[in-house]
This record gives sequence, structure tokens and C-alpha cells, in this order.
Amino acid sequence: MIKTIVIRLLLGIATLFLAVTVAFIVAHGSGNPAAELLGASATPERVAQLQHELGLDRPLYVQYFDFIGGLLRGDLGTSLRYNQPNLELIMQRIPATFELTAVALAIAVVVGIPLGTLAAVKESTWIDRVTSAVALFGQSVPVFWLGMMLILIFAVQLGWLPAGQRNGPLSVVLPAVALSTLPMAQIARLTRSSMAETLGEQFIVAGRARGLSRASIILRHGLRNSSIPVLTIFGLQIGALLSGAVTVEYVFAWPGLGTLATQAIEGRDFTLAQAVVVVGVFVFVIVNLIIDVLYAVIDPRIRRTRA
Amino acid sequence: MSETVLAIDELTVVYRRGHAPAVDGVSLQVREHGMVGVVGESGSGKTSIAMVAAGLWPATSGTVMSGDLRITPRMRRNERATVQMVFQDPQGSLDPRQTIGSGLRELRRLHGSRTSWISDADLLDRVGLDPVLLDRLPHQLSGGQAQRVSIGRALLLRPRLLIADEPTSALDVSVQAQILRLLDEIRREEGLGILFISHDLAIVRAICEEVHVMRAGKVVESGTAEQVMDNPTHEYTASLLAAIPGRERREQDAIGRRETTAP
Repeated sequence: MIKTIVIRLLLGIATLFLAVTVAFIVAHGSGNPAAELLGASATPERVAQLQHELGLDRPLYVQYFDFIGGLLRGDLGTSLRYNQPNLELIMQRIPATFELTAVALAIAVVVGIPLGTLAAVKESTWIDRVTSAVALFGQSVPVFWLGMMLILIFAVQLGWLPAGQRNGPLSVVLPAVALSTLPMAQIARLTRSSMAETLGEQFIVAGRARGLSRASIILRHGLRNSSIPVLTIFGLQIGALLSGAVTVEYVFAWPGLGTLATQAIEGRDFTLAQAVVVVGVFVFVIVNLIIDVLYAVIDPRIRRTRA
Repeated sequence: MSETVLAIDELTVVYRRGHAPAVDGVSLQVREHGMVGVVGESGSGKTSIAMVAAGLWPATSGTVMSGDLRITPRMRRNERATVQMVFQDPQGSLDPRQTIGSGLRELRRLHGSRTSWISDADLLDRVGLDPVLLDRLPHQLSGGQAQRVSIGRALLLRPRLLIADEPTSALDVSVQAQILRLLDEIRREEGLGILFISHDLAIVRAICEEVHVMRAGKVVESGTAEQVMDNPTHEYTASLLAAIPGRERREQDAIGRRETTAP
């Protein structure tokens, strides 16, 4: 168990390192930030001076090691645009993104698992087909389009919910619903197939023969035995949620990490964009590490054999 | 005369309308302390009989009774307890995430005082297992141990009828013999009858006093094990017997052993 965690931790660090490197290369390969910052009217001398101030005139590898060294000290650099530490900017935005993704994930789980279970229990009936169609729709609809439709229907036409920005608990509803659609559909589909497989197992039939009620078979024996594949995609969902949040936050003007990233990229604030990527990857790696540990809790077979 | 614990009368099972019935007008009985075999190739309808007799599948027509109780999928919980089943895949019939002990606790919660006649340790001992296995998960047991757990779990509910659907075909030959011995012992000592489903004529002959040979949903031959095996009147039974590889040699060996070990 301890060994597993250590291995996962090392793998996580390697992932983090790789992602950080890619972020650095992309940020430094996309034009001249100094020129972009100063605008078209700037003189070449002024650009060169700013490049020097930002340290951009140094060799790339020096900048890279400087960047990595900063990361190791917990220094994510200073924003070019806001002239504030990146970490501070990110920390201001994280609660909003956390709220949005948490609500979205909760919706995805609370709707997706029962939906998938229902479809599996009613396999090959119209309920199953309707559920599968809904899940397929959820998986294929583009999130920006869905977001705009939600705004049009529930904010503009019906006027029930706010269309955007973070203002009170109701304002999270529409963006969270839009963000939850893809993971909800994936969770529903996976729960359905995993549950259908489990319900076909002999111990389910054996449970019936011993007089177990239908509910207890489905909830106690079925769901527990089909939860591992569902938990597996949870880790991937976090990735999907974080990248989906960029789009959703933009559509709903939600003041989270996603809008910060968009603003940073639009404003050529490459140090800030880099920092957002680093934090995003960090969260992703940590969440997946937690999920690996959770496996062992849910599946005693893993716990015992690795103990 | 001992009580009839299973009376199947003119049972027909049709899975899809318009298709050939899986079971076609089968009648048979099992008495208390009796062990009745149903043999046939896969697809002959023997597992369908097991499922209906265990109340896991509805009969299309015909009746299935255990004493005064009509066996249907709608049986109440306490009625269901009287008819228990042991399945082919020993590990597969145990929830992989439930220890043996917690599986027994679940049954005790479900069936209350019906299960209070024996402790977990005594129950495991009854089926030849060490009580330390109570803390184990199914994958930590051997196939034979898992099958003993299944048999014990069935016994806990004090059934009148035990249906054993190919209970040994997933096991090694040496373990097969132990499980058969256990079933035979239970049949004699507990007040229950066993319906034994198998494709293996040699096993059925060794353990059952009465045999029904099935083909394409119908019973083509019935009688005592000796009658059916030694003088098959139906050509299908004869062909099944002939299909057992090395049967004559094995029997000769067995006879030879018996002679040499005799005093």
C-alpha cells in the first residue's frame, strides 16, 4: 500500500515536470511577449529594454532553469499584465473554479449513477434506450453551445436564473449544469455497462436464490461491484472538468481559473498562462493520487494483496 | 414413505415464443433424503429445470411443488429459504467484495431465527472448513473451499430441497470427489432431498439412486442409476455412455482395485 502510493507519487511528479516543460516551451514559442505588451507603436529600443527587464534576452535554457527553480521554491513568477504575483492571482480565482467544478461533479454523480443503474436494471427496455440517447447527447453536444442555449432559455426567455457572473448561490446553477453534462453522460454510460455486467454474474442470481430483495441486490451487491470502473474515470473527469471549465467560465463570465487563463493568453501574459497550467496539472495529479488510494478502500482485493 | 420435497409435473419452459421449448413436458420427483440426477448435454434443458425448481425462472406451463409450497419466482423470502441452490462456478457465486463471515451475517439478518440453529464456526465445520476462513474473501479460497461455503450457506437456511447445478464441473477431479462425498453426507444426515444436475454420467451414477436422461428438453430415459447405465434402452443414453472416454478401462481399473484391496 505504502509502496503503491510512493510509486504513484513519483509518477505524479514526473507528469508534473513534463507538463510544466511543455507549458514553458509553448509559452516561449508563441511570439515576442514584450512587443505584444507594448503594442504596435513601440520602438525597437523600448522592446529590447523590456525584454531585458523581463529576462527574455537570456538563453532559453537559462530561462527554463530559472523557471523550474522558481517552481521548486513555490514561486510561480509575476504577472506581466497585473504586476502581481501569479500565485496570488490564481489563489483569488481558485474558489470560484472549485465551486463550479464541485457543483458540476456533484450533479454528474447524483444524476449519472442512478441514470446508469436504472438503464442497466431495465436493460433493453425503452427506459434504457431513452437513457442511452440522453447520455449520447450529453457526450456529443459542444459545451459552449449548450451553455448559450441554457442562457437563452433559462436566463433570457424564462428569466429564472442569472445568465452569468458569480453572484449568489443561484448563479452557479447554469454554468454547473453546462459543465456537468459531459462527465454526467460518461458516468451514466459507464455505470450502465459495468452494472449490466455485474447483474449478470452468478452471485447476483445466487443472492436472489437466498431471498435477497431486489433493492439490496442492486444497491449492496451490484453497485459496489460495479463502482471501480466508474471511480477510474473520476480521475479523468477532473481533467475534463478543468478544461471544460475554461469554456464554461468564458461563456458565463465566471471569474475562475478558466477566465484567468483566457485573459492571460489574450493579453500575452505568458508567465500567468504558464502558472495556470502548472496549478491545473498539480490539481489533476493530486486528485488522481487520491483516487488511487480510494481504490484500495473500495476494493478489498487490492487492499489485501498489496498490504 | 418419506416426504416429496420436489414434484415437477409436466413442466414446460419456453424462452421465446415460437421457438422450441427449452423444457418440454418434464415430470420428476425428489424425496427427502433422496438424490435424483438429471443428465444431458449442454442445451438439453437441465439448467432450465434447475432455475425453475429454484424459483428463479417462471414455468411456462406445468407445476413445480415442494410439499405444499408452489415454487415460483414470486415466492416470499421464508418460502424461498426452503429451496436452495448450489451453482457451477464456486467463486462466481460469492460476492467478490464480501468476506465469508459477512455473507453469512447478511443471511442471518435476512432470515432471522431460521438461521439461529447453528453458529458460523459450526456451520463451516459442518461443511469441512476451518472457521478462520470466515475473514477471507472469495478469491482467497480454493474452488473446493468456495463450493463448500456455497453448500454451507444453503444449509444455514435449513432447506428441504437443494438444487445442485453442475456443482463439481469447475473443480479438479480429486476435489470433485470430496464435494460429492459432502453432498451425499448432507443428503443422509440433513432432512433434505437433492436434485443433482450434471453432464457427467459417471458422477451421476456414483451419487444418485435415480436418473433422468434429457435431450432437447425431453426426458428420454428414467430409472435407477444402474438400470439406465447398464442397460440403456434409449440410443441417446447409449451414445452418451459411449462418449465417456476410457470408460471401460476406468471401470476395469476400479474393479481391479476393489479386488486387490479386498481382504
